[in-house]
Amino acid sequence: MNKHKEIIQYLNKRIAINERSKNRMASVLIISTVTVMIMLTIMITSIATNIKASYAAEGKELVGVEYQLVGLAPWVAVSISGVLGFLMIYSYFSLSREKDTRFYTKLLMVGATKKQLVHMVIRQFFKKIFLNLFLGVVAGTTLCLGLRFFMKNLLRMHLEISWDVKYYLIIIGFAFAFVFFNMMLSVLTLDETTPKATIGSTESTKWYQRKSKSGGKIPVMALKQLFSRLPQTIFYAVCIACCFVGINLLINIFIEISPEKWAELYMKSDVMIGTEGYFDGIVYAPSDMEKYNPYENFDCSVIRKVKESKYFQAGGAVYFNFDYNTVSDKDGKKVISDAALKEDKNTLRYTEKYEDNVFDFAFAEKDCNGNYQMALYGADDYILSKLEVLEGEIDLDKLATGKYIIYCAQSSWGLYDFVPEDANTLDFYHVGDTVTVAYDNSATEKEYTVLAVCKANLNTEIRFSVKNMFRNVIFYLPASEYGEHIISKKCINFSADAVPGYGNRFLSEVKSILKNYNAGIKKEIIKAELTTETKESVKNKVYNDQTIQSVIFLGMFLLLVFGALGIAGRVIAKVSDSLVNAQEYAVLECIGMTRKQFYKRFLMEELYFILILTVLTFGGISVVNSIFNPLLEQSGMLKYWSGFKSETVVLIVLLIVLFISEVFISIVFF
Amino acid sequence: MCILKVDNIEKTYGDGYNEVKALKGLSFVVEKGEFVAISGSSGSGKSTLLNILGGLDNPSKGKVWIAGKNLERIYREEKTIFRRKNIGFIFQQFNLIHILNVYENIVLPLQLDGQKIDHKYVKNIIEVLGLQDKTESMPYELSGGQQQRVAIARAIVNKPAIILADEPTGNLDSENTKNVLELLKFTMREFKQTMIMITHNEEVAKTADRILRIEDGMILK
Repeated sequence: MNKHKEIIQYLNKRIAINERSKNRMASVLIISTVTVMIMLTIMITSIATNIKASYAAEGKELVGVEYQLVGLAPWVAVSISGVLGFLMIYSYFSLSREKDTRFYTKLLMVGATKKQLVHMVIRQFFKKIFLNLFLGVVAGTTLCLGLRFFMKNLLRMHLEISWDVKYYLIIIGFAFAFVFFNMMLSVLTLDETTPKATIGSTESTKWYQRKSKSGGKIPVMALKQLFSRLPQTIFYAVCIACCFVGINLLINIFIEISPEKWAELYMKSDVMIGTEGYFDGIVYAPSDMEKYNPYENFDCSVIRKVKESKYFQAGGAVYFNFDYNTVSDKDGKKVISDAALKEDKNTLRYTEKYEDNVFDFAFAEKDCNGNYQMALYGADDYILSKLEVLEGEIDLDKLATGKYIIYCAQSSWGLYDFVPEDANTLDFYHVGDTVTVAYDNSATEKEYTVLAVCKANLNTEIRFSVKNMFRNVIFYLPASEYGEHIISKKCINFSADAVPGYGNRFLSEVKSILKNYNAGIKKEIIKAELTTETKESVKNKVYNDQTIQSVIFLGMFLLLVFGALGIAGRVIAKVSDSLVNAQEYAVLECIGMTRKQFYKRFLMEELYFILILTVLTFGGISVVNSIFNPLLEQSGMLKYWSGFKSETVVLIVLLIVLFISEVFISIVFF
Repeated sequence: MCILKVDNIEKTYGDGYNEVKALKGLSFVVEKGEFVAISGSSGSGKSTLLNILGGLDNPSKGKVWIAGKNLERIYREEKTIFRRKNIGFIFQQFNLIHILNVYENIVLPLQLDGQKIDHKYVKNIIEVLGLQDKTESMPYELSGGQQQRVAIARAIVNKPAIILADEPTGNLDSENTKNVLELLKFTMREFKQTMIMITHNEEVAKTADRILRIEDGMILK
């Protein structure tokens, strides 16, 4: 072997022996970087592929912006991976770059050529890269599979992983290049003609470093240490803050919203039967209703058969009439034909008070008889007894007399874009108030007394889906009273409870009844097939809500990617710092710095970092919440939730845990 | 008055076949205000002796007293505090703290000890060592001679009973070596300190009051 190759090999061997810990750190860094890059790329690519597939399955095509976003997603993922990977590798190698440069400069000064040093680094590079790359690929792939398992079995979200070899090759290529570049940087920046100049520090000194006189005090020393690595510190703080923002989002979704809470809010019974259109919240135009009223098919025979089931315990229907606005008077002005709300002191109180017509839908216009539109529902006793009472009491016997009516509190809707400050005065009616309803093209009128004020329930309105809520003034009458005045009433849903312990059998029987029934319905009616919803099906739909899905994916992305980047990087940086600064620590101990003072310094350094992190975390959460909360209006179920908030207690606990862990690492490796 | 007493210290590294005896039963005394040079060839045990005298290492056998205190009997934390108050170290490599400026490097031992800084005294040291224009500079902006002067200032600022210098002029040119030695002697007289200096340079050793020659772990008579 050539002599110069021999010496290079020998030097590399000695470096490997002397810097065993540093090399182990480098290996961990490379493996974690490749793992993160693989996970990020594969997961985002898989999500894009899944979106394409789901559209294809529904016979739809991606168009416009959606098409472009889904098409670009893999390349965006690869780019983000590349940037993150580079930052991770660069920030690690920069910790020891000065020391490495000095080492190579010394070799330069004793006669090594730059070419020999490059050769030396290349050999070191090849020793480091292959195994670590392989392990990173394996780890990243395994974690993707683990994530798929977690999403499928715990979150009930199905994600097909898209294993595309070209992305693997790109990530491997990136990692290869980044590690090579960073290792070579210490050698490539050497000045062969004036090597001494390389040893001189190129640090620029800030004015406060010069003027400072308190550097020996532990808190100041800790601050100076922090500032000496400020870019890296800020980088890791930003990454960990992003991770915490992700955790905050996920806690909001999984604990605050929770499918169980949502199912309880939505479903007050074991099973609900309605048309597909009803559950999808389809808004039918009046002209469609004439031709294709989907509720036409929801007739009593279905209800009767369900009630005949031996597993049926109790149930009831909600009724509505769809003949509104179908009649015009001689002047062409609309007549509210079924049931209209006569103007009274309560409606006047609103119209006088709110000039800008907050409830413009409810009080948009009077018909030619001077009456307002109203949403008057009929409900069986079962439904009425499950209403959530805000004022008064639901007395079924009193309701059966036909003299009483139930008012649904406007303020409980929370649906309006603008809610006045005195929202509690929005409730137009209270217990004891009189409501006059004009029936049959205002041919007859009847006065009712408000018996109770109830909360608006999702499962007793014209549409099950929250995306399209009916915004009229809402009242309930018992089905018997309703049927006396509204001849063309239609059943919009039927809710039932099973005999305890027989829920599944009951559901199975109901589905069988509906299957037979659906075989005979008119095919031209849009989504008129009868179907069921249960608490379980409602729960399963929670994580299929688009906004929620987006938030979950974002949260997981922030948690996993930035968490890995920030926490792994920070741990590696702390351990490396201990190794790099070992000599300085020894000098400080010689001068007289006690262990307690060292521990105090580590504590102070960590405290400053945690302060920066706290500001970034809560700032980041405020920003993210201010972006997401307006988006809640777009989402169906999230409208019924107070909005994303900062899970302060959890975040403080996480910050404390991080603080303790990092101080522990500093002390252990000291 | 005796400031340092070394009684039959031995230092052994390794065991069995690999055993190496770095020091073999050294005994000597240093009086207050004395300048002692320890010289010897490479591997004679000079640095090992200095580390033991400074409490940075423990002898395998024997005892060391500095300012009447037996270093063997005190725990690590207490030893560090004792060293901070009573011993000043000057290293061959200067070993200034890179994140602190010159002034901060000098007063570091005082601040670690929680002492109130005697600004007049510190200013005096800075002037004696010719560092008035450099107090706001960072270590990497100084020449070797300047860095060593900062290291000297740091070593004497807390008025230690004894200064231990490990080849303080080893990295300096002849001009700076001469200047630093003169400064060291000046500060010794000025602040009434005792100095023990390791050197392999005979010319430097001759400037001391006494030379202890060590060879193969033993003092040559």
